[in-house]
Amino acid sequence: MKITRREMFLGAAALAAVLAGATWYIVDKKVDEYASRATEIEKLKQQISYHQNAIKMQENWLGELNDLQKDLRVFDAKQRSVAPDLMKTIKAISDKYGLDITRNNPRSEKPTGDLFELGINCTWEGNLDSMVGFLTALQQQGLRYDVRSLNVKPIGTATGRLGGNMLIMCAYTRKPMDAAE
Amino acid sequence: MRIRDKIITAACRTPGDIEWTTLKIKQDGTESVQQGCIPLPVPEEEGADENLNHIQLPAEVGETLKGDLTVALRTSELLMRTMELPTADPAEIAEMVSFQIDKMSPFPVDQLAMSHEILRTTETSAQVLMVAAKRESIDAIGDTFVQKGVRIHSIDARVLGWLQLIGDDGKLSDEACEVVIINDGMDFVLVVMLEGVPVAFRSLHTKLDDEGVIDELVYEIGYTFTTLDLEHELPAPAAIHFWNNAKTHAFLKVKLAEKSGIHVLHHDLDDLPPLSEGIVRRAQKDSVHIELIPREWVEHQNRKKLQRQFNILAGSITTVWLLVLLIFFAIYKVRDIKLSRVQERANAIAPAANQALENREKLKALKVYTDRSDSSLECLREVTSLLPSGDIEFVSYSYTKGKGVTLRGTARSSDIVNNFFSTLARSELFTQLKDQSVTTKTTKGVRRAVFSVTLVLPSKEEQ
Repeated sequence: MKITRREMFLGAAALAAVLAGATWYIVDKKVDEYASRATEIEKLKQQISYHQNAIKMQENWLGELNDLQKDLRVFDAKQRSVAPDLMKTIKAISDKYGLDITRNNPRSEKPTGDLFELGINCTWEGNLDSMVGFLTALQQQGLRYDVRSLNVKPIGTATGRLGGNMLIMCAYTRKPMDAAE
Repeated sequence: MRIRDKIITAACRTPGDIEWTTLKIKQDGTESVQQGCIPLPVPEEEGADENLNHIQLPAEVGETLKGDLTVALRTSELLMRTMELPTADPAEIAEMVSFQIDKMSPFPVDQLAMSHEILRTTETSAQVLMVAAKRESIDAIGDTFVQKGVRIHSIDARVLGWLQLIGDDGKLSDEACEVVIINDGMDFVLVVMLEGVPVAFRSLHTKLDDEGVIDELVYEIGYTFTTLDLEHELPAPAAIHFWNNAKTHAFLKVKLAEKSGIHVLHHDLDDLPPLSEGIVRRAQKDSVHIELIPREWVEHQNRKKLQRQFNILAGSITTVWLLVLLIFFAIYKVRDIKLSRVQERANAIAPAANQALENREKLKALKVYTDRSDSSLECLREVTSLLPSGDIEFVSYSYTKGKGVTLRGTARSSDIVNNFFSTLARSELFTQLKDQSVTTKTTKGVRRAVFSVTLVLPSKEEQ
């Protein structure tokens, strides 16, 4: 093969250009992946740090959580609906204080692990004493019940009768029967 | 790019072998010399007269002769002529040499390999040695070596190698005119030297053993001086230096002195280094010296050199490219590995972390149940306890945990309502009073103040 110096440099330049093009073709496809990996690593590191903190902090409040959960009612994990049981209990308390719950409307369960919350909207009638007594009794149940909203209106004029509705949130746990207390 | 060591090798035919000298010049400037002989496969008697183009080279030639190889030709195979040219410009000299050789050679220029060597220059002229050899002879030598895998870099003249060694040995006069006769067994040559510079070369076709050798030598000397007298005003030769590598032929020396009338000095070529060393010394010179290389060979070498440069350049570019890609992929792989490790770590703690987070959510949910500070009962107690005495009653009481209480009612007068609002505003349970409204209305002839207010509870974030 006979080549001149000029052809040699042209050949070398062409080779360099081809290789540069190949480099661009190969690298360009990988650069985005490379950058996204960096972002992913950073996100994972933040997640790890967040998780580590959560695990570490758990030591501070795990005891408190266990103490709180002890007071909750435990239902069988297989039990389809706990609303009737809860409404029965609420009805029993209201009856005890002369508060007439005319309508119960349970909402859907909200699970957090084995902890469940269920809201029951109760329409009631009674007087101030029966209402205060009922609320006090619920409060004495500890963290099983919590009244999230309460609407009170007088019924009639100067009858002393009150009526309205309230949303009672019930907290309980669901566990397998043999583990249930 | 690494500068390689330079290797110059010269190879010269002797009656029984090829003797060689290799000079290795390292990058730091140090030189090392190696010498040796490669025995020829042909018997001495049969092949002594054959030059390099007619002999069968031994196989080890290819392994032994390294670097830029220079071989030397006999004077009998060369057309050698010195001439004073009326210029000192190398380019003009080169042109004139071509013209002069064309003039004196019986062969056309295209059948010759030509070269020249500037022996001495003045401001306006130069004494030049012109040398030509038949191309077929040069090509045959080249082919002989190529068959053994060796490419000849340059071709010199044996006699010039000997003159180099003799001159280096201090055996040439810088002032007088002398005759140097060299017989090394391969070449029998007569050289006329003037002030240390050769002015004429004559190849002698006789042998020392011939009966008429003295007469022949005397005739050649006389003839040479006669022809030279036309060009130079030569003084009478001061001495004849007779160099050969055989034992002294005393009778020849005496006879030659008698017949020529010139003082004869005999020297032994064995006292000098090998001829190949003389050729190497010449090849090492930077100045222009005899290089009987056809243009095609030079072009071939240049092409080969260029191709080597191209290969190196292309190889370097490819290597750099591969290196760049390698580095990129290494960095990419390192990040990949790093990601995998981080992912593994994240996966390892994820179950425990998820459990912890779930527990936190549970605790957060339960905390709402345990926090009775703003419970419905507490708000009811606070509102009723702050109710001022007098004719004031609620029409509605609306409580939402975490947000507040909205009250609507009526009072006998707006003063009572305002007092009630003032008292509520001082309550520590509520952060603020919003949407306060007091209007006075008359219904069925009874004038009453109708009010409404929203009592805001502390938000969970604030807590």
